[in-house]
Amino acid sequence: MQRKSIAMPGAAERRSFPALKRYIQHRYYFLMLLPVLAYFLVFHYAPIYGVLMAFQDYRVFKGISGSEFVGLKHFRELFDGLYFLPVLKNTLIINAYKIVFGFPAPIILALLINEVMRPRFKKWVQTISYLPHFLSWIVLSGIIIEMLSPSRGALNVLLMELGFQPVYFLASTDWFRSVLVSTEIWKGVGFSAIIYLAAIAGISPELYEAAEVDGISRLKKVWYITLPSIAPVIVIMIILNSGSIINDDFDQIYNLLNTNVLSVGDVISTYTYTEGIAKMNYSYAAAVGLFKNAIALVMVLTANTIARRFSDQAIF
Amino acid sequence: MKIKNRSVSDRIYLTFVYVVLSLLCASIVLPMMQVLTVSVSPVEVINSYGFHLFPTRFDFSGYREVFRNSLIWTAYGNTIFRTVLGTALTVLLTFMGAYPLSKKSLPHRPFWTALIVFTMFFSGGLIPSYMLIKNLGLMNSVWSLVLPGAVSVFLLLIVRNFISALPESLEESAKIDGAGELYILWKIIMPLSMPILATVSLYSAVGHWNAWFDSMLYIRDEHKQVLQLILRKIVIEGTIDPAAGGGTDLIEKPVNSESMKMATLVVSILPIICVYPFLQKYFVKGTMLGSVKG
Amino acid sequence: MTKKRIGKRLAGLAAAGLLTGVLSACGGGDAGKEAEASDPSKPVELDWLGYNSYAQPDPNADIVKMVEEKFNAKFNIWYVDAQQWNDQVNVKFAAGEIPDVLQIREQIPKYVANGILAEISEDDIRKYAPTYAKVIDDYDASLWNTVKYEGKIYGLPSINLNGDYPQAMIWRKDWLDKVGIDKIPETLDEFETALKKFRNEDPDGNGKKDTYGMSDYALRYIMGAYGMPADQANYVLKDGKIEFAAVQPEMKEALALLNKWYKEELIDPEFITGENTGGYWADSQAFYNNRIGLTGNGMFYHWRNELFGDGDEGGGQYQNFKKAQPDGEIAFGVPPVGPDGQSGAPQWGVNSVPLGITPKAAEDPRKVQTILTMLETSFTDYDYYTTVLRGEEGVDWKEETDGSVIAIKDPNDANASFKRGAQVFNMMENPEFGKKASKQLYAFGDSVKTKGYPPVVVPAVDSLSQYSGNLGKLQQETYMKIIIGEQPVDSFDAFAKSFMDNGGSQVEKDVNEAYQEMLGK
Repeated sequence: MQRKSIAMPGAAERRSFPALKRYIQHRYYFLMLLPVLAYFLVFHYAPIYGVLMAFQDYRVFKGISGSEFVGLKHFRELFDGLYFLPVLKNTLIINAYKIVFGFPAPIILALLINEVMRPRFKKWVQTISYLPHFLSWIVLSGIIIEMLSPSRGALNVLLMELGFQPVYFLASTDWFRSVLVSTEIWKGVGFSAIIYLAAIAGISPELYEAAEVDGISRLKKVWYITLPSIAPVIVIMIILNSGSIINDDFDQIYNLLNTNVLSVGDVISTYTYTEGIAKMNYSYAAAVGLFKNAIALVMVLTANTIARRFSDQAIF
Repeated sequence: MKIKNRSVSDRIYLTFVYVVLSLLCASIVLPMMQVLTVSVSPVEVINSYGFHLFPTRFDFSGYREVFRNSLIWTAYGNTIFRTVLGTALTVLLTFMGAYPLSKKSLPHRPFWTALIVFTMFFSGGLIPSYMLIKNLGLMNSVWSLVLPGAVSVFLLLIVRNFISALPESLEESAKIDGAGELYILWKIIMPLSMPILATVSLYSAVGHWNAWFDSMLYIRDEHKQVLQLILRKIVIEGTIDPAAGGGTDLIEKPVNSESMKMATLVVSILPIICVYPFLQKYFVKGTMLGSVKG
Repeated sequence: MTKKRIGKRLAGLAAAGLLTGVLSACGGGDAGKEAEASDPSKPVELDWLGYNSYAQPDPNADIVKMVEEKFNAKFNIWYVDAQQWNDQVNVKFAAGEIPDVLQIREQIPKYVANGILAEISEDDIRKYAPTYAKVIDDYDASLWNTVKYEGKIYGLPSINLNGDYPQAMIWRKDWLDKVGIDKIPETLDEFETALKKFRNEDPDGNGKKDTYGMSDYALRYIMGAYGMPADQANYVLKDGKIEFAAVQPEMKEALALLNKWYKEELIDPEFITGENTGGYWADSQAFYNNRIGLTGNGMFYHWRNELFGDGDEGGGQYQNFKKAQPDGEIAFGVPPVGPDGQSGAPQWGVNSVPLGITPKAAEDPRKVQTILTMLETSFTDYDYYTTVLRGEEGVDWKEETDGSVIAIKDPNDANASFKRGAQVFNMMENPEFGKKASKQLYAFGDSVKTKGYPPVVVPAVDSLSQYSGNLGKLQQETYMKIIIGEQPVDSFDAFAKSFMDNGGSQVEKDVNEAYQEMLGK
């Protein structure tokens, strides 16, 4: 944040009405920003009073203004549940895996696609890899169950051919999380890679030309040119992704979960769903939402602070 | 290309690249083929175990059921309309937000950014939003579908960082040449930002294409509803749960629900999949940069 | 030409109704109530959500007009996506948009607490809908308990005719023949013998040991042999006291047997991910694909193997089975009899989605009266009921010579009949008329009917909705682990204790109090 002053010339002038003067200087930028700020005020800040519901016993006929305040009752209800802590733990573990393995995946894919020199192959890879994004989990779960079936699934047939014992992946507490993580990566990698492809497309060709002259290997070009050039996008993605540690993918887990792996696979959203109390219980649902958002916010702020210390690409 | 110049390590590396990408594509194509095959197969094929990669027998009843719905074409129209309108709006507003915030000299930049980022984490929830739409008089209009999600904080930040990563030298040299702010924005920043704006368009278009919940909530008139909602209904009709009551003869012969589901899927994703190849030219390395400089 | 005839027919229905309307208006309430009622010369306006909306009905459809005329009403028909019903309706409610009539798909205490439901006086019900009330009394008077909260009636109970039939247990008849069993197994021992042979004697004749006896769908029938099909947080009535089925000592015996069967490979080890691997819920791919020889999650009409004349191919799941195994044959089984002579199949029970009246409607006695009169008409007038349920005769359905009703499928528009207003005003299923319209089908259903365990009907209590999720999870997890041997059978005792300690006792206490109070009334 100290950098701001560097950008501003004329330190002496600023002394009189520094801020105002800078605003006037940047008036066109603010003119441009105005509709966007207005949008956020109307569509995001205006309805924000809804968070109050988390601290009330919300009743439809009384509304937010008339419902009774009950303090942290719904948060207590959430934490006191027999299964809440294990479920919270599952959520954090599964998402940590998803971030650790899932975050680099699209970057690697984008880098690989970028290396492809045959334009037709490149086009096909790009188009195909983004397809699974459009398949819903309900459709995919059927295919996954079939593919991982211990008796006839393709993967287990392969394992048996290689002389291994078949594995009942979906019913094994050791494997279930791996299935969640790998299928999630598989489904989203192509779609997420598009952001990085765009970033790579923005790199100046001059940089590569200079490297070409020096006769640097391809791998080194990736390491010394491509990666540093897309670092700003990577950093922002890390920061934003860190918030997803608490946001589980309900559709995925709900469709793959079975009784045998509840102990490792039940997460906050499937838990509140099967609890059945999220329905009609507006306040409880609001409390769950608020709790999740608070954790996400803490994560993002932490990641942002770290990013600011080590780079100049933090969010703020 | 300059094949003879390639070193051994480059060759190993490239082989690795092609193998990994081919494996990934294979792992995607196979399930997609299964989806396509199931959509045109009779029930006995679908219910048999194993993969169904190529149709052995054809049965188009799934597609027939989907197109038997009289609303499907208006729904297609509505979806295309909202996607185009919504995407245009999103690209415009996202850029308008991202560009000023990419300026490091902008006064109180962290504050203005925080103001926007904050909304990612605290929202009032469905009920106040519903009331808002109602009070703004947007109910039952396409604006209720495009306005509430017009700017995504996520995309805005991505665009902002993309712009701030552009080489400053270009802008500076233009300034030295006497170019005005508007000229720089229009002739330098915009063309250079095409890859990321193409990304924003794609993400936004895909989001609009797949959305149905908002349409369900805000659109009362069946003729204004979007494709995904109509398709969901078709699928549900094929699997009406008799536990919830209703005449027995309505459920005694359930439609071949799996092929119908897959047909629905094909019908709904085919058009949006076709959008990508048109945006691909913006992802070709350095093209834009070259054209600006040239 | 046909159009004209229909118009006439509908007009006739409407005219017949006007009379009822007038009569009920005459009988209408005392003077005090009359004062609040809306102007009787104008049609009563009703915001209508008392139906399952599959498609938006045309507000000017003939059927809508007919019903409006018949009851001197004007309907504002709400249109809500059938599957996302709760999400959508709850938001509308929260925003203050409340209809006059609605289906109650949430627990009644929650709706009452949120001011969505008004009390309906029993006197009103008996006065304006006597036939309906009597049908409920005769069918299962305990249905009234399902709509009571703190002693007051908050909904109009409805009957699911199919819930009167237990679920169907289905054997591979050709497999039984192949392994030399000529009698449908009836006891647990006979079941075990049959399942063993299915596993070991290669019933599908492919030379591989790849068949099993059963998978997950048949589990609950085996538990039935021990007195109850325990699932999640369901109850069982023991000596006039309500207890959780899941913790009964008999279930320990059932689990011990299932564990033994699992070890002997009579149960498909893939029962954990289920025998249904996609598609309609009653389908069993494992059964269709020669993997198991015993299934049972469908109803008699899903598996109907008695054909009704030309072109009839039987129930949907039977058709799917025949397509997969053209030479295969099925037989309807009976739930196995256990050591103490008990047996029974899982059964939905006749309790269906009740209909509620909101406080907004309750303010105007004329609205309540009209709603109840409409309901009564659905129970007294077969022609009216068939029309509002199925649509127009000759367009949406036709009558066979034996009185059975056959739906006519519109080749161009799947929603045609809904748009014409079918399934909007029937309000609830009328079991007698339903049987009349599908005579053959229910005759078949009666012929294969077995003994079932319908759910115990008790009043709703708050603590159940608080704990049921956790308890159900605990039950499912433990049962699964005991069956596959990950936990010893004796761990059942610890489970039972944990179940009761973590809310089970609380719910039992509350529900018994409410139950006694209900009986005392």
